[in-house]
Amino acid sequence: MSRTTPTSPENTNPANTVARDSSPAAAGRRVRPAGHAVLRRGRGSLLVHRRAVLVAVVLAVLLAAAVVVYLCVGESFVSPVEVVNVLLGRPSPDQLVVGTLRLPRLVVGLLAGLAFGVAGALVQTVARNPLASPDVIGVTHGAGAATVAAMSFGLVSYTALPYVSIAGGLAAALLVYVFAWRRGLHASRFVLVGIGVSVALGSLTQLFLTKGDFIVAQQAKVWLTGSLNSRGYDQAAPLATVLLLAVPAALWAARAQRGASFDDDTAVALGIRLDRVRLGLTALGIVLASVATGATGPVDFVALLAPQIARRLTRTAHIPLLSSALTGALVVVVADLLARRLFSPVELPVGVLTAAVGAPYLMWLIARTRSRSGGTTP
Amino acid sequence: MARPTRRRIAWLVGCAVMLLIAVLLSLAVGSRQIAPGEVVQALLHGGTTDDAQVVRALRVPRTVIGVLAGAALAVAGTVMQGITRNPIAEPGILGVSQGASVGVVCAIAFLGVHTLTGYVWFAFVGAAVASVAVYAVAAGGYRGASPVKLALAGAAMNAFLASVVSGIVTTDAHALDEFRFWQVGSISGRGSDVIGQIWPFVAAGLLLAAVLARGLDALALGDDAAKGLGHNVALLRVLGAVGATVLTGAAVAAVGPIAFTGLAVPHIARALVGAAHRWVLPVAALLGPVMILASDVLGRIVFPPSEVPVAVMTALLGVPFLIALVRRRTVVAA
Amino acid sequence: MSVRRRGSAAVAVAIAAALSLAACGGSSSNGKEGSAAASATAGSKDSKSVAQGGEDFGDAAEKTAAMGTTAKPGEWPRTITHAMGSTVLKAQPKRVVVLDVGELDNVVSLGIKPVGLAPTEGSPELPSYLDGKAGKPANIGTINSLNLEAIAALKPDLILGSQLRAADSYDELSQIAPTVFSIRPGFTWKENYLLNAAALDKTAQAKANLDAYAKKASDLGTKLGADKPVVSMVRYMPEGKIRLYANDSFIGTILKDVGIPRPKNQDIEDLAAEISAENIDQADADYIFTGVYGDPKATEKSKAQGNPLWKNLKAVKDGHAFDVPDETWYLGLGVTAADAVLDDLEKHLTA
Repeated sequence: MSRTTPTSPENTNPANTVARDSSPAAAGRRVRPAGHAVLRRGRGSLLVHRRAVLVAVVLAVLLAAAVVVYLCVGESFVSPVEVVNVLLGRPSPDQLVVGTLRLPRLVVGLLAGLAFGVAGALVQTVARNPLASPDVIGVTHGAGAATVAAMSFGLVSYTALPYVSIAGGLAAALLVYVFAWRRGLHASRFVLVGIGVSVALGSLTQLFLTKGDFIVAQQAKVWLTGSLNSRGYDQAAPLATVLLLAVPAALWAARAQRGASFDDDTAVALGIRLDRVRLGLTALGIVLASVATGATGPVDFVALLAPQIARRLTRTAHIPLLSSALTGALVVVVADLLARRLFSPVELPVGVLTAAVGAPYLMWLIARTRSRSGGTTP
Repeated sequence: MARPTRRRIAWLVGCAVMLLIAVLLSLAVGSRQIAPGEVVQALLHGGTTDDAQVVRALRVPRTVIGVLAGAALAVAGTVMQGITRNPIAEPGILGVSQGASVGVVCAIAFLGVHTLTGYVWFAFVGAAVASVAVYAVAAGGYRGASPVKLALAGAAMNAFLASVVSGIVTTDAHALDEFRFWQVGSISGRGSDVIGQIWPFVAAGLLLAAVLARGLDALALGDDAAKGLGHNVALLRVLGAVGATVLTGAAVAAVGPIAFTGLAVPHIARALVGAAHRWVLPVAALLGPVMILASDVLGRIVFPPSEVPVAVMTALLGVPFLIALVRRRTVVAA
Repeated sequence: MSVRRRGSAAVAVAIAAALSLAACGGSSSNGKEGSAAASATAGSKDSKSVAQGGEDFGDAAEKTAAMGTTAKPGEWPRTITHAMGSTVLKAQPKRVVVLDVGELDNVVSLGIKPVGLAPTEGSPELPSYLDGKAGKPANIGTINSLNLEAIAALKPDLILGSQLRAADSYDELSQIAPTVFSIRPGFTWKENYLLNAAALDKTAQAKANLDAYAKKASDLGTKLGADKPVVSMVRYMPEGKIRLYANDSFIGTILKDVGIPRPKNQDIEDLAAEISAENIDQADADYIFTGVYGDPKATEKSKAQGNPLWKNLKAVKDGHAFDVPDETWYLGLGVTAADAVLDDLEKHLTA
C-alpha cells in the first residue's frame, strides 16, 4: 500500500485523511477539529488526523521489522544482511531458504493480512458493530465448505481452489444477507443469522469430509485450519490482483464510510444513499475476505481483530482503513512466525494461533459492549 | 394463552407416537437391509440369525443412547432458555457442549483417563466452566446478556475451544484419532455399557428439571414477579444451571457435541403446548429423541455405506430454526 | 398466537428448503468452474481421479513402469523421467529425503539410510519393522504438512515422494534438491521401487530384491497347493470406516502374486470396498486378516469384533481370523514389508 503523499485529493489516503469537502463537519463550519492538521496545495486541501498518521507510520515500521525477522528466523538462521541481498535480487547463498521457501509464504500471509484487515474494517463500519466481521458472519465457512466439497469430490485442480472458495464465500454472504433482510438490515440480526449460517456450513463441510477420500480428507483438514504451508505465488497472484483493484474502491469507501458509520437517521439527513453505500462497502469487504480465505484457508478472527486494534490505537471515531490493513498484515505475519517455530519441526496451522488469540479478544469485546442490542462499542 | 388441557394431552400422546415411530425407524433403517417384520421378530423373540443379532446388538444400544442424549439435550436447552429468558440459549450455540468435549479431551490427553465413568466428571467441569464463562462474558456491560451477545460469546467460545483441540491434535499425532470423536458428535459405535453408565446422570438431570418447572414459569414473568411469587430467583438459576450442565455433560460424554437439538425442540414444544414448563418439559423430552433419531436415520441413508455423524445432520436441520427465530423481531430487540 | 407460530414454522421450512437449494446450487456452479480449470491442468487432474479410485487407477502402474532412466549403471549425470516431468541427477545421491513410508521402505531395502522422513499422522514414529536398518532420519513435519525448511536444512541431494501426496509442494521441493515423484503410493509399489532405484543407481539390486520376493511368493503358492484358501482383508479406519482391501492395493498385489483367491466382493479392480459394522458378515472367507489404521481405540474394531456377527463368521469360528501388523500389511508399501507379509502369510496359512 502506498504511503500518504498529501499533495492532492486524488492521492488521499483512505485511512487517515479525508478530503475536506467530504467531511460533513468541515463542510458546514470552517472549523478544524481537534487533533487534525490541514494540508493545502493549490485548491485541494486535506484534513489529516495527526495521531492516525503517526499510528500508520509506526505500524508500517513494525510490519517491516516483522517481515525481516520472519525472513531471518526458521529452521536455520539467516542474517539480515543476506535477507536484504535476497530481497534486492543480489546473489546470495541463502537464496533458496529465504527467496524460495520463506518469501512466497510471507507474501501470501502479508497480502491475506492486508485483505482481512480492510475487509474487517469495511464490514464492521457498515454494520456499525465490531462483531460483524467477515469471519463471524459466515464468509470463511462458506469458502471452507465450497473448497472441501471441491477437494473431496475431486472437482478441481489445486490452482483452481482459490476461485472455488471465493465463490463459496460470496454465496455464504449472500445467503446471510438474504436471510437477515427484513424491512432493512439490522446489525444484530445480521450477526445472528451469520452465526447460524456459519454453523450450517461447518456441518456441510463435515458432511463432505465424511464423503471424501481418506487422503483428500486429511489434506482438506489441514487447509481448513488455515495454513500458509506450501502457499506461494500461485495463491498470492489472485490476492494481489484483487487488492490492486480494491484500492480505488477502498478510496471511495473511505469517503463513504464516514457517512455509513453514522446512525441511520443522521446519514439519511445528510443525504447519503445509505443502502447503496452499505451494499457496496459490504460487497467489497466480502470479496476481499473471500479471496484471502481462498489463498490461505480460514485464518479466523484477523478480520475481527485488526480494525478494533487499529481503532483503539488511532482513537478515531471511525475505523481507519490503512491502519486496519497494516494491523491485519502484522497479526498474520507474527502469528505465522510463531506457528512455524513453536512446535518445530511440526508446524501449527496459523489459523489455530489467530483463533486462540482472537476468540478471547472477541469475548472481551462482548463483555465490554455498552449499547443496547449488542451494538457498537464506545 | 390458556389451552384446553385435553389438547395438550393430545399433543403429548402425539409426541409419544412420533417417538415410537422414530425408534422403530432407527431400529429398521441402516446400511444393512432388514425387513421391518424381521426387526419386530428380533425384538420380541430374539433369535440368532445375523439380522436379529444386528438389531439387538448394534441398533438397540444406538437407539437407546439416541433417546437418552436427545432427551437430555432438549431438556437442557429448555432449562437454559428458561433461566436466561433467552430464546436462543442452547448447549451447542453457547459453547457448553464444546466445553464438555474439551474437558473430556483434556482428561484423555493429560490425565490418561479412558473410561466413560472417569471422564464424565471432566465433561461436567468443562460444561460448567464454559457456561459460566460464556454467561459472564455476555452479561458484562450494559443491559446484560442479550441474545446477540450470548450467541457471539458462545461462537467465540466454540472457536477458542476448537483451536485448543486443533493445537493438541496437530502437535500430538497419536491423539488425532481418539479425539476425532469429540469434535463431531455421533451415536454410532457406542455400546450398551455406555447406557448403563450414563442413564443415572440423565435421570438425575431430568428430575431436577421437573422439580424446577414451576420456578421456570415464574422466571418467565421476570425476576421481580418471580420474587413476588415467593421464589428464590438466585437459587432457581443455580439449580437450573446445575441441571443443564449435568444433562449436557452426560450427553456429551456419551455421544460427543451435538448442537441445535436444545434450540429447536423447546421452541417446537412451546408452539405445541404453550409456555407452561410442566407441559413443555415432557414434550421436549419426547421430541428431543425424535430429532436425534430422525437425524441419525437420515445420516445413515444419505451416503451409504458411510454414515454421516448425527451432529452434522442436527445442525443442518436446526439452523433454519435459528434463522426463523432471529427473523422474529422479539429476539433482536431484546 | 398460534397463527403466528405456524407462520414462523412455515418460514423455517421455507428457509430449510432454500438453504439446501442454495447449497446444491453453490456446489454445482463450483463444479462447472472447477472442471474447466481442471482440464486446463491435466497433471493435477490425474492425481485427483486416482485418489478417488476411478478408471485411471489401472494405468498408474503402466505409466510408472514407463518412467525411470535410460542411463547405464554408473553413468552420471542421468535424467530421470517421473510423474512431474524429468529431473537431472549429477551424481549418485547420498543424502535422501523420503516423503512417505513406501519410499522409506524402498531406500532402506537398497541399503540407504535416509536423512529425513515425513511420518503419517496415524503412526508418528519410524515403522518398527525397519527399526535399526533405517538409521535415524530427521522428522520433516507430517505428510500433509511438510516442513520445507526442515527439508532444506538437511541439505538433501534427492527427494523421493509421490504426486498424489505432495504434488502442490513439488515446485519448492525441486528447488531444494532433485525430486523424483511416482504417481501414487500403493499397488504400484514395484514400479515405484524401480523408479526410486533408478534415481539411486541401484536398479540391479532392486530387480534382484523383486525377483527374490517373486520367487518367495510363488514358492508359498506351490506350498499351499492347488486348493488355496480364500483370504479376506479387513482394515479398520478412523471415523467408523471399515475397508475390505481389493486387488488394486499393496496387499492385493501380494495375494495375487501368491495366487491366493479372494472373496468376490474383494476381487475387484479398486483399492478397497467400504462396509459398515452392520455388514461385517460380508468380510467372511476362509481366512480373515485384520489391520487397524492408527490408534485401535479410535476405530470400530472393538465394536465390530465384539458384535455377534463377527463370532458367526466362518473364519472366526474356525480360528482363522488373525490380527496382522498394519505397518507392513497396509502401510508398508515396499519390498521389505512385502517380504514380512509373505512370512506372516506362510505362518498363518500353513500352520
